Amino acid sequence: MRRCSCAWLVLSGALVGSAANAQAPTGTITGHVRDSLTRHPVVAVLVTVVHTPKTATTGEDGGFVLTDVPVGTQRVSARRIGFVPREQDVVVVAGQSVTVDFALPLAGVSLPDVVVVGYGSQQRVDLTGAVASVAPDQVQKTAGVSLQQALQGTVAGATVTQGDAAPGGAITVQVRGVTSTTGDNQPLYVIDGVPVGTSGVSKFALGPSEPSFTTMTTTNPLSTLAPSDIESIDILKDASATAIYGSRGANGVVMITTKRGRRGQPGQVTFNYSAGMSDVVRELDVLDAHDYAMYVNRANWNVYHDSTALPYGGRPTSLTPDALRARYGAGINWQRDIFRTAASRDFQLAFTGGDADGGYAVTGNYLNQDGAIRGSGFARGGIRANLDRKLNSLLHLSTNLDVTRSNGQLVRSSGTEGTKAGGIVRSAIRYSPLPSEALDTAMTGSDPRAENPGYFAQFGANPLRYTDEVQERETVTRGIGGLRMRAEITPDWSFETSLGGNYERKGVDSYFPRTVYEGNGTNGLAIVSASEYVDLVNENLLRFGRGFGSDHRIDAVGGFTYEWSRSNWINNQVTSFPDDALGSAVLQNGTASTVPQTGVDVWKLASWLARVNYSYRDRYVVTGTVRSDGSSKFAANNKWATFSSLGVAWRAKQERFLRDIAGISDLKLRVSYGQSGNQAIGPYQSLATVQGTTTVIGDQLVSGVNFGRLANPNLRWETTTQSNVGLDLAAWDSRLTVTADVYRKRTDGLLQSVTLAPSTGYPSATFNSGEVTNTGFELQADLRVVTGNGGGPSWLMSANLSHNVNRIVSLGATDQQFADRLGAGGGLEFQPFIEKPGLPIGAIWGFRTDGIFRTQGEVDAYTTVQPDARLGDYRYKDVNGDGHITDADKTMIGDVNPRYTWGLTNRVTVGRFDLSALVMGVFDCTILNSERLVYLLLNGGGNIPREYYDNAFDPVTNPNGKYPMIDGTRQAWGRFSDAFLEDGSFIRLKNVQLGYELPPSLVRGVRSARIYLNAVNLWTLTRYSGYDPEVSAFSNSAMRGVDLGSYPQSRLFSAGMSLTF
Amino acid sequence: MIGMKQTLIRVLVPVCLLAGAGACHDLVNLDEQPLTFIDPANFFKTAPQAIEAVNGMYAPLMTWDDWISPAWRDVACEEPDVYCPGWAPTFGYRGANPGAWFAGRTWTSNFLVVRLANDVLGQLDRVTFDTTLTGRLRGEAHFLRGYAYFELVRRYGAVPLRLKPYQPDGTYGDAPRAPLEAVYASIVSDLKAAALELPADFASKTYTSADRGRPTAPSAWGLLSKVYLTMAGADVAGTPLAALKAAYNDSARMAAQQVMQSGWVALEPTYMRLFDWQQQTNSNEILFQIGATHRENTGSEVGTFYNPPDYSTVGGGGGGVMSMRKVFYETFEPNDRRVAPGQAIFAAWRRSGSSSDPGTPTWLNRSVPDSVTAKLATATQVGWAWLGDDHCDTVGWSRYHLADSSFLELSPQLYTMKYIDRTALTKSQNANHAIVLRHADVLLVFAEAENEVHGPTAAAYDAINQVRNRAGLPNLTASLSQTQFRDAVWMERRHELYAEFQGWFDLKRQGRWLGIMNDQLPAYPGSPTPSASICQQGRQAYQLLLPIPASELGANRLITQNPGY
Repeated sequence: MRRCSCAWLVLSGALVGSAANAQAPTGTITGHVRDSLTRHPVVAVLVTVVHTPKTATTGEDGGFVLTDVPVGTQRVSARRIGFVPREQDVVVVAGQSVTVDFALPLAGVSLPDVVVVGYGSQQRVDLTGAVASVAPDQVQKTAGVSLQQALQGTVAGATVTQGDAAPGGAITVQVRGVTSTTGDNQPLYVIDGVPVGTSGVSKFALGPSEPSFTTMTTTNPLSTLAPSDIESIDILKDASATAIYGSRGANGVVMITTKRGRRGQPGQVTFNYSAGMSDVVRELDVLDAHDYAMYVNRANWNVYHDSTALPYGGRPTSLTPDALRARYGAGINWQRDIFRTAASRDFQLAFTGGDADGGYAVTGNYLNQDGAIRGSGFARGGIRANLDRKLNSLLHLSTNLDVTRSNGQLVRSSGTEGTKAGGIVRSAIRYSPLPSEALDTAMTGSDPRAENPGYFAQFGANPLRYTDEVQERETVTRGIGGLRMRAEITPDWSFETSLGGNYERKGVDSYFPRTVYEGNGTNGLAIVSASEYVDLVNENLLRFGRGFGSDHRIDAVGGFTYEWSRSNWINNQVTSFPDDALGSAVLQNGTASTVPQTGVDVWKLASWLARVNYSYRDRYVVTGTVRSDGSSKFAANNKWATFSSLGVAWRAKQERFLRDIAGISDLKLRVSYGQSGNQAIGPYQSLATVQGTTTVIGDQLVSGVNFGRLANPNLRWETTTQSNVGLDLAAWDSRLTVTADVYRKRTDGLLQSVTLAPSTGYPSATFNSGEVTNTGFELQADLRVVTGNGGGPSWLMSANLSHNVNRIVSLGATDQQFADRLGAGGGLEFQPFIEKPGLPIGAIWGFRTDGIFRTQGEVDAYTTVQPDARLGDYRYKDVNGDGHITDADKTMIGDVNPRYTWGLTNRVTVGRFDLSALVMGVFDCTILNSERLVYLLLNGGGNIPREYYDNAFDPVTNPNGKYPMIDGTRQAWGRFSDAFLEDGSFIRLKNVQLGYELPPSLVRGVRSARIYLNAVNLWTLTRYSGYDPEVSAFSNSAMRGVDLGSYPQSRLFSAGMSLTF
Repeated sequence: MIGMKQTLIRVLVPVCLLAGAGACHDLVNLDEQPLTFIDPANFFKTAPQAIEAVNGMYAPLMTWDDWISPAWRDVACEEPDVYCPGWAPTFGYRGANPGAWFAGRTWTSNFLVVRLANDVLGQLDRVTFDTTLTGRLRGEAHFLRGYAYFELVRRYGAVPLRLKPYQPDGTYGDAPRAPLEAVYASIVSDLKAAALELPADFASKTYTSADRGRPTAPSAWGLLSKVYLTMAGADVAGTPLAALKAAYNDSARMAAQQVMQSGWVALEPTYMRLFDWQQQTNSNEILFQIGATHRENTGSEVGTFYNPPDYSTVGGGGGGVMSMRKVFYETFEPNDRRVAPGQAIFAAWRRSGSSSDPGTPTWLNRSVPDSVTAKLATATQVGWAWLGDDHCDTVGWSRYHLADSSFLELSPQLYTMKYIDRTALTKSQNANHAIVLRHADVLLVFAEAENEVHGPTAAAYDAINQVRNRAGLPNLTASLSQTQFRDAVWMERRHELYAEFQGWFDLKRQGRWLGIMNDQLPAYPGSPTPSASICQQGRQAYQLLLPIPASELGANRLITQNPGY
């Protein structure tokens, strides 16, 4: 590494030294860009001197300055998202300034004309690949906290799932389906050119088989980035676009660009503030005190048929349900106790500006959001400085530096431990609605929160102890920075070298006091863990762009990049504290500790890359891309891999036969084919290991070693081969724009953790085997329903629709295997997710129910088929007809992959008012509602939603009930069946915003002022019975769509203002 | 304008630098240097490394795949003497379908032991240091592999025989079942090799007192005697082994004699000392034990099922699940120390003034005193289980709030005190060792085998009487018939080894399991009729073997499921 840094310095020095030589006659172009209708200045318009690398962007006043423009006649273009681009010719005179003004008409909303692609940006018209973009204002509106939310419902082909709706909680994004059975299948995120990784190992799981108190809460790696800093988001989808990221491009690439100051722009200050309130959208109707007592009594009666044994009213001096109602009313509604209306505040202060030689953007932001569950919250503060400077006519320097710190107060909303540590949300439903004293009158007058020991034994601690007494804090400190130097060697050639860095430290401190299950047996449990991640990237790129005659143009980029990354983690666990007062702050107060655990990972990636874009008469465009990646993660025989793609676009509109058809503004056909890869494994997977372990001999712990893993010297990346056919159409003066894509992705050499026969003594080994396909189409259309011509009202509609079919073609030598189980205890010990050729990743495997046994006659007639048949239990289908219910009767009973996802945005402007609304939907997918595994036990062991009580079968009182009979002996469902699945389709009014632009004269000294009201998750239409159909407890792609009692989505109302001075 | 030459230079300089950077040696060196594990090529070079690798073989035994939980749980409820509440057999391991996660955890862990032993034996073949040490290490590996296969064959029947380190192959580990007789032959061969190579005691062949806990030659002989006895039993019906019943009984007898003649293996003077976790390591009675400590995940959670309620950890909690059946309790002879109240068996009530003052336990003699019953008439129950007459439905503490504001807590069940460690912080920190084989077991194996070969000889009487006398009982009635003696040994095994997970294997070996679990045979010798309902689901013939786990079926295309599943 040392030698290479030197090379980098020498390289930079050489360029700086040669700067003085670069002199050529140039002039300056200045001007302003205005809205053609309102005459308001338009900011952030990209102004380009066509066929040169010269670009500038307009400031708040709509002004721009282009310096060092070669003399002669130049064509200048002005492009901005939402406007129809315009071009003008101008004559540049050496040493003089010439003025060009533009008036841009509004256009459709979703097609920005410049898109950020890997290692550069391109005019959209020159694109041969499938690249979707998110309008910047959409980012500000919908991304309450995290920028991934901005992708939801707005981008065709990107499926965004909010796994845990806690503030700062994890969000998963999938571009064009899941390609791999391992890992999380997340796209590669690139922020200002720096690929962003997340800590390799962030939390430590205890054992493979037992409940782990440390693993469930995952957080969102990008939650440290403030949405207000985002300039644009572009998603690279097909091979032509992603192959430039080689072995990491297969899941798509999300390019995030942050705001920068514009050259020549007068200094300005922008201040944004918003404040809001959020609350949980839905509360489940659970049994009140009286009905709960009736339910528990019924569960006992149906077993013992002895009224003296009934817990409420039967046993001596116990209270009857009616007496309970008289004394306690409805009892405790734990949901109301843990949910709250939570406040949030968001500030941003930005200083931007520039002079003739550079620009600056310095921003600060602070967000403080309380969670809708007591005890949870998220706060984030950050400072960003993006600077650009032209050193001389040859050299340009730009830097960006972003430092953020976030602090999440976590609550254990869901858990894989099914019984006593099941999570706050689950226990808010299941915990007894009766006050402690109802079970034990000696508790009267003591701490109202003190559990009766009987309750503690059955349910664990009450939910308020988890919200108020358990401490779990996650702090993330992140710095992303980079230094980029560009040398304009000649007008055609430029060279860029950069060094980027990315640092993250994540710390999780938790403390479970002795009042809750986790800390009860151990006199307090403190877990303090941390992980650290450092990533350095060096890029060296040579660019070429030149027109040959009027017909040919070549733009090319090529170079070498090197990335080095190291992550390490530590976990400390201490128990036996003298008291709970200090929590996890002073670990040495605890008298018993687990040996600390640590780990270190290092990986390296060296790459050569090149892309050539050739266009002929602006009519035919060909893009060829190649990248050669050498990754340390892969085995000795497969360190290097080359990925390439070819894209062709035909701008049919430029053809003579279409040029004169007025109705068609633009028409382009795109075809691309190529490969990208996925290195979705951790480092070192190809190597055999000798691992240290400890073992007990006699009563002594002694050290030992195991040969822990099989070596696989042939391990390599997964390869995704993708073909894409696309159409871009603009019609009627661009009032309608349509982008349609059809694709087929075939991923082979699947990086699979192949389950070996356990009799080999190895649980699994990582192999390349198997094949997965994703086929689908995407449609994005924008329609300007009302044009807004003449300053009148305008109405823009933007719609997208995606359809994807995922299928496992083969698993290599394995016939089928199952993903991990749902949880431990509480009846969650199922592995319902199957991986099997012919089925999608996310298929659910189990028995089919066929109603319930309503008479003893039905039971007797079926006992030979189902020996455990009982009155009031589920009857299972003998699918294979062999007369016995066995494992062979399991079949695919659900699929978590949605068949369609869609979004529809409407924007209306009337005078100074603007209104936008986003509706989105997910159609035809399954949710595995693990709560039903518990509710449908109907055994009186804890509260349940009223639905299950009211509709439980009873041979006398409810012979047509659709749920099993209430029965105190039922402990766990022995078979996983379709009874635990639900339809997860939904339609949601995701976002509504109403804004008002204050007249400039109203506030003195303020250039522009806008106030707005915003609402998120306003309304949802779904048949899903849980809190929210947008749920996915596990980040593992093979186990999506599971509701484990996750943090419910909140409805957020906020009001804000945006001022520019 | 810039000259052509200048342009060329300007372009070439960065291109060359670019090429130079790419060629930079450090950059393109993409080899991985592991930081958290050792390259196997650099291991097994020294004696300490060889010992570490051997130590590693023991590690899977006390894990969540083995003795912490499932290795005892999948057999615990398969005998009539233990009361398992309704959910334990169904929620636990019996009748489990092969896809359930817990089915086959012991399959996985024992095959892991097999694999690690194969790795060690494979490596030991290559090294040349100290042959005394390598012999002993080889002995440990043979012993563990024999133990693991014995655990497997008794649970699953014929299993694949893997006696070489596994190398990745195109089939991901396909292997057919070996014939049952081949599996037993391998176990015998391993244990014989272990018996010859292992040190005779903890003062020979590199063993010192610090090696207490490792197997010795008597451990191998003792386990071998049990293997032979099993080979003479019903497990091998229908195989060529069945024809050699007499020979295997004789072999069992002689192997057990090797232990009895070892000179140092002896019964503990008092029965419950065996289960004192602080004494177990140095016990001369325990022939093989799987160690446990107070460190998390190194202790069995067996106590949280068998202990009296609230006896499992420092903070209380756990326990109160499995208890001794009343009808079985009544088969113990008077003054049998193995059911001494408060020492070996626990049942109590305690009274306290408040919920925070636990009160002092007072012993019950299997029934609630009248004085207590009278108070209960006006009491409010505040605990969850309630007192019932049916011994099948009574479990756990019952907590009553009495009219005078005090509490009464009842534990009418009979809980064994074999697994108590009240200093454990959590359930997986219980320092009670898992006793796999102890001398009393070997003595009873000898008595049983001797009786089969020669009838109830003086030697057979002497062996069983050693066990009885230690329990405070007189010698067994003289002049029993061979059948009577056989039943007496069986009864003694049940009394001596209660809750030590031998019941299912004993009953299967004797061919009695199905009949007893379905109430078709007298559960207790001398009782003329089948026992009262044992409150458990009936068992079927196919359940003589556990299901081959789905994970094996899914990955090993040459394996077949046990019939009936």
